[in-house]
Amino acid sequence: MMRWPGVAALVLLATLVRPDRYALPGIAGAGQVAPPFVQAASSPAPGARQAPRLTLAIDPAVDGLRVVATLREPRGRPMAGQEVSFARRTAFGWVALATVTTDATGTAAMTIPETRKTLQLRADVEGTEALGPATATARWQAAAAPVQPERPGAGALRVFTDQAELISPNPPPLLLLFLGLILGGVWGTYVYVLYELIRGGRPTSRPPTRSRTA
Amino acid sequence: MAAEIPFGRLPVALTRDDGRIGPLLHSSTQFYAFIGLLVGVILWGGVAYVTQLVYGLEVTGLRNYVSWGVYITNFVFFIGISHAGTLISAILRVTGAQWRRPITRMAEAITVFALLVGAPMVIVDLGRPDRLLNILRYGRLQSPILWDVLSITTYLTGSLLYLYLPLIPDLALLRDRPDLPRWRRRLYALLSLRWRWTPEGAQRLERLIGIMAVLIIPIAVSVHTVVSWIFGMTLRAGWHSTIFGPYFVIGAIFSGIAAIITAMAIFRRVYRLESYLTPLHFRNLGFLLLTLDLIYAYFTFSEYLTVSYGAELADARLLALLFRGAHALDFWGTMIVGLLIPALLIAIPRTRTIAGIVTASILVNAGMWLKRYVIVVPALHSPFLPIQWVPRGWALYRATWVEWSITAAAVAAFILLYALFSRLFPIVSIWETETGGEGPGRTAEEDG
Repeated sequence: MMRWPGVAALVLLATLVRPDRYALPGIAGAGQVAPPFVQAASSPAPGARQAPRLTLAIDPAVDGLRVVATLREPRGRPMAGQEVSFARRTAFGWVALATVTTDATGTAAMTIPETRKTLQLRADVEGTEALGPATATARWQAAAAPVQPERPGAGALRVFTDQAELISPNPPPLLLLFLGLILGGVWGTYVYVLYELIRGGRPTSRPPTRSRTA
Repeated sequence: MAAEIPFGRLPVALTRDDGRIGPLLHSSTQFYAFIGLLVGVILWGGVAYVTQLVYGLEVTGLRNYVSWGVYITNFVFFIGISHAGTLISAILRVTGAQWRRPITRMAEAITVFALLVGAPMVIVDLGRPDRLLNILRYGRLQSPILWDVLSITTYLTGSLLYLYLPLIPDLALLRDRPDLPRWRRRLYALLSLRWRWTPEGAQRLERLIGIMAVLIIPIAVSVHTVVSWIFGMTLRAGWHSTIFGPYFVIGAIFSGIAAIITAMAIFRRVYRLESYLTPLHFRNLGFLLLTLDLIYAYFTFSEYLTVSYGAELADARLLALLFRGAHALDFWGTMIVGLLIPALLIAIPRTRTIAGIVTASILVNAGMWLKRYVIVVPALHSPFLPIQWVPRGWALYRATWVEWSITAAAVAAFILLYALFSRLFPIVSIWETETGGEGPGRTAEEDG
């Protein structure tokens, strides 16, 4: 019998009782040890305390994308020494990137490699005794690449998808054709072998020729 | 390539003392005790698996970062072992190597049983076996995971057929033996498909064995290539490599030959098959093992030198982990126990005895299991983004009693299937050894 809710409750309880278990010196790096998102989620709801102003910007840089979070009090004064956690949206949910402390201007920045055409990031601040938590998200889209002239007839086989790569919602027709031919040939041969085997065992076969018997 | 079934020699008279048929006629108390021990280990593994089903993968060492461990190591190991049989048997058959005759059957059986035990390891690793259906519901033909499912299914079917075809003449010999129980004779009669020693039947069977021998070689190569692509097509330090396809195939044949030698030594001793499994067979397979050892060492050197020369940050971190870090013992253990010592044991004439070659093959099997572990786990310990915000126990993988129990059960299941097969069917092909002139009448010169 599955006991998923029970196990989940135990894990959550262990998390709350022993927050020190999350410290990972030597693995995450001294500056990156931070409490998990579950604690941020357990903070008082926004509204109980006044939330600071958190903005997030993504700009192209020489070595990738510059991600800048700016944290200010509600009146506009920069908040220094606060930890800002950056996370990136993936197909499997939010993946934590790093935790950076704000400087005197209330800015926490990091650079990430530009590997995708679109990118969605999130910045989280836990808040202080006086101010509540804050979250900001930002999306970045790469400039459209110049259209390459296509060879005549190149799109003839693209029946289901425009993408030639295997990373596509539907299998490319060439892959289907290739797999179909290979698997069809192999399984067809199996069937032929079995058919021949069974056909050979019919009573029409000649009687045995024994020259040396037990 | 030929099955070479001559007429006028078969069927032959086989006495109860003949090692090829003796195990089919009587079983000792020790055999039943051994079977009982294996069943006990399997049952204990069953208890461990039920524990995992009830409490989830939390009872294992697997967590978010290291999500593959001993189970996937076992999977790759058993799929590798499976190359023993079919591939080696088929290659020797196609090239007409006459000395292959006594070992083909046990090699082909290894393939089938290794696949039957190894493939379910993926389901065990899932934690939720009901999610297997998701392959059918959401499977993408573009994914190497689905290619793996297709190729292993195809390989298992082909291997069963390839094991079955050369078994038919022996089944036809056995179905008329009065000293066998009735149910067995009926089983042999059913499985032999009324096949008889006729020129027509023999030629047809010879042709079909030939077709399967040629067909099974590329299928076997494709299986381990696709297994390697599951790693190679992942953008992860230690896995994303262009040579993983041939590297895995060579490793599979390497461990497969070692498995055959180990099985040969056990059957030779237990079933008294000294007349059929001669020093010649051990020496020839020993040389094959040495050749594969050197090729595998070359691939390993090439892989790690290329990666270390580039010194990308993630690669450098992984290599540090392997060469002098937490996994140094595993890595150097693989190199020394799995590659260096076996090579020396076979290369030095003084130690190139049956005992030496069998010792080398056992070390190769142990080393190749460890090598698969070194491929799977350390790479997961060193992801591109640093491991953070998790309990220490989640970042460092240690297999638990559940994983070791299921691993022991898998090994026991493999041995059990093999042992039962050898009691139900001749483990040394009667017709092949008879037509090849193997056996007690063989001269010392022929044995080399």
